[in-house]
Amino acid sequence: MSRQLYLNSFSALLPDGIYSSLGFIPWTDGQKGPQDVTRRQILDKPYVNFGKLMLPDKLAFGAASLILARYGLPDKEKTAITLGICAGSLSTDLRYMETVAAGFPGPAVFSATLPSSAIADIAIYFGLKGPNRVCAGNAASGLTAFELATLLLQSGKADSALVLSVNAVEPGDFECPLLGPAIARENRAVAFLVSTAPQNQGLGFRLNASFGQSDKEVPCDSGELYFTELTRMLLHRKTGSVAASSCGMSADITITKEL
Amino acid sequence: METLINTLKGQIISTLKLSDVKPEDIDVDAPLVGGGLGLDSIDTLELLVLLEKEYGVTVPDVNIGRKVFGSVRSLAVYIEENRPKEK
Repeated sequence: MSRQLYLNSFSALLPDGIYSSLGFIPWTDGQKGPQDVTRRQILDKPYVNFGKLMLPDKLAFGAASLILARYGLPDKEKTAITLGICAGSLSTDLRYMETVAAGFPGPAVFSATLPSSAIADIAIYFGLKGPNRVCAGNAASGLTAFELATLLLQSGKADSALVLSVNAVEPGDFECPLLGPAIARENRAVAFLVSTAPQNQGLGFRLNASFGQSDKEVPCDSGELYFTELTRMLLHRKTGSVAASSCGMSADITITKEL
Repeated sequence: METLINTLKGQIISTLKLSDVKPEDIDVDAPLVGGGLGLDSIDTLELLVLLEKEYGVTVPDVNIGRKVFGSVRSLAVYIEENRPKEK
């Protein structure tokens, strides 16, 4: 039997500013985009490790915190995390190679040279013990993360899932031959909290999502852009649908506001 | 010694990229690992790299390491005793 899913909260660090259930805040004059997000913009309490986070982890943690720090979770044991990250840990890998070239390989950077390190940072800080999945690579990673979350919820392995879609690339990374042409040139991170029940203080949108294959020739990273569209709908509390198609995958995501 | 201790505080903050920590927040006699700074084993490795890179000092084994990283003061003492003498 399929379980009704609810989209209870969202957040996004996008090129123009910070989006969350509380509204939109543009970047300040000194900030060029999500890569410059500060601890104070996403967390009220000090977090000594924030400065250590590498770019992909910082973006994922930032988007996650905007939901989790300001919005209680019903059951940490049953909250999953799924992460889609187009470029994987490439940005961190390149920073690590810089320390190797300088003659002193950096242990802290090395420990973050896995796409899943962002999940670890979030799970440890917020005490989440549910299952987690990471999807790295060009193949519609964000859409896959969304689908994985719905599967975990439908199968009863989790009651809530934090879905993250992250694009993290630093300017110097563009010269790396491993970076495919389809990767977006802008950093961004989008997060959704999807649950099997509407939550107190949550947005309470009913969520219907179906996933399949697509034969449309659409660049891989455009799948992640659909999340930006969804974020803007949520910001304005609009009911609607997003038909995403990216890199061989399609998705129809409909959100309906409960009366 | 006090100058070295103050320098080390700044280097620890910048090397480990500690957010929301100022030099005056660091208790020179408090444990570095497992204390209020929230340092872990990876941070200890970063500090080992710092010792070698900035002071030419190595830590030969775990037992000595435990004493060296006992506090900022013990770290400074170890550096003073083991750094290569200037000719």
